[in-house]
Amino acid sequence: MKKLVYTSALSIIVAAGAVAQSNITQYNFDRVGNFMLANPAAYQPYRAVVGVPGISALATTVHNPSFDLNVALGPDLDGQESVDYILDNIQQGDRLLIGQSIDLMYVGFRTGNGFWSLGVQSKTYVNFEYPIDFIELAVYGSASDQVGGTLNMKDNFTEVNSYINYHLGYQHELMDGRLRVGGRFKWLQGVGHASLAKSDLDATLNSDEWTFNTDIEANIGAAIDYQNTGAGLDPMGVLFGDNRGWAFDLGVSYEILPRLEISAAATDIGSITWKSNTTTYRSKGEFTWDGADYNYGSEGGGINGDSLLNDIIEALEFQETTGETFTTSLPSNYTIGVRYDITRKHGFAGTYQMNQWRGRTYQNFGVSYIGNWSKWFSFYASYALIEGDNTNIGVGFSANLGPIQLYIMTDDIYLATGENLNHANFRFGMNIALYRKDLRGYDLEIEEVEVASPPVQENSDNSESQENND
Amino acid sequence: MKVTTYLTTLLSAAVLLSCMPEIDTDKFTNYTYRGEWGIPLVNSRVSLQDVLAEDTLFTIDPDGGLRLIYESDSVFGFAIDDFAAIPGQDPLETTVPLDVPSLNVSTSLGTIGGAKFKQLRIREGSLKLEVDNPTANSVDLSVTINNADISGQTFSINLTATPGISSQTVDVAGLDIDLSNNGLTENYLSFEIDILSNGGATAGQTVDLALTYEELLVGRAVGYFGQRTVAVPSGNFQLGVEAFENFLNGLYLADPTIELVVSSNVGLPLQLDLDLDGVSTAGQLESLGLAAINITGPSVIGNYDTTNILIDRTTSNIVDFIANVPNTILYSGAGIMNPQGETGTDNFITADGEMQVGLRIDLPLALRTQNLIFQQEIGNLDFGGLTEQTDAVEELTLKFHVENEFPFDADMKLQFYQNDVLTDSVLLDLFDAAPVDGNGRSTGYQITDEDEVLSGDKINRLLQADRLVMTITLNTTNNGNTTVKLYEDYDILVQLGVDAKLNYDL
Repeated sequence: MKKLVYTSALSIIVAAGAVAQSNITQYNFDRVGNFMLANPAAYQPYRAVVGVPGISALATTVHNPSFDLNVALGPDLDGQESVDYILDNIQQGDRLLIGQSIDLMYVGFRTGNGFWSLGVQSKTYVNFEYPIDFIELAVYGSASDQVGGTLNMKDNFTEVNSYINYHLGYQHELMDGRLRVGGRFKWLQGVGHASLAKSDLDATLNSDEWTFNTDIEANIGAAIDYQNTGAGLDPMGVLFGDNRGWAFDLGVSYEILPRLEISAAATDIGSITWKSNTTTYRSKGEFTWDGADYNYGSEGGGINGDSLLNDIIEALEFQETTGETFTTSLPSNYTIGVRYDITRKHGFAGTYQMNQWRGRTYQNFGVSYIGNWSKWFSFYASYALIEGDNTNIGVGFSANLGPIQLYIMTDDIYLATGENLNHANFRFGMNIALYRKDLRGYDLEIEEVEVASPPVQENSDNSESQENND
Repeated sequence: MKVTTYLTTLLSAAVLLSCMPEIDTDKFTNYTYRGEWGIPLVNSRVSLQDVLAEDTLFTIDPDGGLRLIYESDSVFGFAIDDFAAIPGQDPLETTVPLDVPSLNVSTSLGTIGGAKFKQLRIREGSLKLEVDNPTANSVDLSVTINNADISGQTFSINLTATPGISSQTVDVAGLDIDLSNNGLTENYLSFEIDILSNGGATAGQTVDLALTYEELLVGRAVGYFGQRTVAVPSGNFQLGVEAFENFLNGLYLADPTIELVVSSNVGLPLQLDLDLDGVSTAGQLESLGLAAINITGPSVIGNYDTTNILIDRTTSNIVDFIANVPNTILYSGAGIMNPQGETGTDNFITADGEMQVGLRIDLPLALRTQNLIFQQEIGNLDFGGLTEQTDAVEELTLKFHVENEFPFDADMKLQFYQNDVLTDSVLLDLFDAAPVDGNGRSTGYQITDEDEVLSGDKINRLLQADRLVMTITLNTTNNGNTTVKLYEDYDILVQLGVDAKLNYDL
């Protein structure tokens, strides 16, 4: 059982950064080719896109909607007040999500009315649902008024997952480009996993005995033999091991009126089956801890905190099973959006996203401003409700410096101001991107100068001339 | 869109990104943990069956009553050399005239304690023959032991005495000697000396012959072995009763017995004065106080005779001896051979002669205890970070729950030691005796709940302790005045929990 704890802790450290469970921003930011993964039918403005290996798209998310990390960690509250603040604000089901994704490789290219994309992406995330009773037990103690000698945990959803996503997608434009349909197949290679498949625990904690009623199942799977640290790292085992799965994405976009487009996407519908280096820990039944046994003839060994904790864990009689196969589903997203381009440079969008995972539904809603101010620069801003947190104002930029595209964005600019740390999200990357000749809303001849290079210096006459072209 | 617009936008973003929140993680280093915990620490159920499983010395009577039996076939013993020893012998010196064909000489075997041997078989030993020949020529002699043979062959040896002094030593192992001279006497030795060649000696010339038995060990003996004292080889043995190891004193058994078992194939009366002293774990010595023991031995060679001597409360100090809870028993003493002197009955012993003294300690556990002390150490204590601060525990209550089927009540003294220095202690009325019926048998459980609230200083000393010594004083029902019986199905449950309110600076 300790291995599960250690593995989870290690994975949290490794993640240190996130997969975006909210895709409100990237769903509409079509100037970044990689964001096509949020909607396979998203408009692709490029003839070809090649991601710079390793830095094509990096995304990090820390999402903690129940309390503000800025308040909890800031200097205004002392340690005791911070702990009280946290406990006052977390509710059953609240979670801490940490994730990270890196596009190791991304390529997209156009063939006629179609657009192909393929790539390799590394994803790691930690979903930690706060076990409130455990936290209160740790803080207040079993005999405190707050805990009252009872402990109840049910259906806690905590999972650490890391996998490699080999994906191939295709999008086709129909009806002169007014309708786009797209799909993507993902072949998944599991790297590491730890989760609580079952986590029901009722306990009565008195000074004469602690009784437990458990139905707990914890799974661990890994591409490497984590129990044999001397075995060394087998890269092929990590990249093409036995922990395999698949998933698919589907999307559709339709321009129902000029400049008014609706879209829908379902992504990450799939699962991974863990077969190699798996260990399952189970505890089911009624158990009692009533103190360390000192049997006649024993040496009368010591009592200390470690031995007590070990004894209590042992009292739960966890059964360790190795080699069992288990399957874990991905957190799947269902997104619908509507976008209206007021002009060819300024548009607005509304997006609703439903994220489903292990029977839980997380909902996000946002409105966005999309400013494709020129071919070489786009600005994006959004306001979003993310899992009930209403303090998310996002901004983003992309700059196409010739064929070199740089972008950076966040779902919550308050991260930068330090006023609210419920949600911290950050994406950036670098691609080689070549615009398609029939870029939507642009006349090639008029924009030829902009496409060729960014404006380094303009006189007032030229500036006026371009403004008139809007 | 002008370049300045782009630059302004980017600059604004950079400014925003530079405003990272101020984080104060140091505040948690000053966090005072004030958790209140109720934790079961120890849960120990000990039954006498557990003890029995560990200790092979316990037996169970048909009624389930317990009996502790220690047996040893041979605590100490005597062998043939203890009873039939032959001291160093003086030489038999004779002048041998060279002008006669032969002559006979005789002497008596030297013995100790007035022993009078009639028959002897020499197990080991030698005969030294030394000749002083003053003549100018060598002389050939033959020496025959008249009343001795080896496997039926008369023992005879030839020797050539060169001019001057010469000597020869011969092995006499296996020599059977009839020292009775055909039933007429004891310790009788006789030699015949034949002059095989006188070397041309003239009349009146002689040689001097000296015959000496050396380092004789007896292989068989018949006769009177004398009246003397043989020492009991002193030594000790561990009683090895694990159940007693932690008890100090105060265990009064109603009917303890020790049976001494003396097995002997030596035809020899022996009065054994045996000292048995018990030493407790605490080093306290208590003597068993035995009277002299008389052993007759078998009357026929080759037979074994077993003498059983029962030692009980009427013949010894056995009650106090056991009450001392002996862990080691020391033995020593002496035996007097033929204490009645020479009675006319021959003693006998053979090469395998032995007298083994074993014992059987039989302790039916019908007992009363008055302040029977039990001690147990709990070492390797480590209260972790709690020891680094004073007053880290604001309140501490030790909660004892005892379900006792034993007819004892117990008080406990818990002593706190730090670096082998006693720093504090607490006293607890730990549990009360179970009720007993008229036969001294427990009729149920006595449940005792005892809370001990520790003060601030006591808590600190407890947390600083690296060792606890638990001393439990046991008294049987009615303050140790009622005799009770122990049965194998008795058990006791001791649960220790704590309620602790912490005040611990992280």
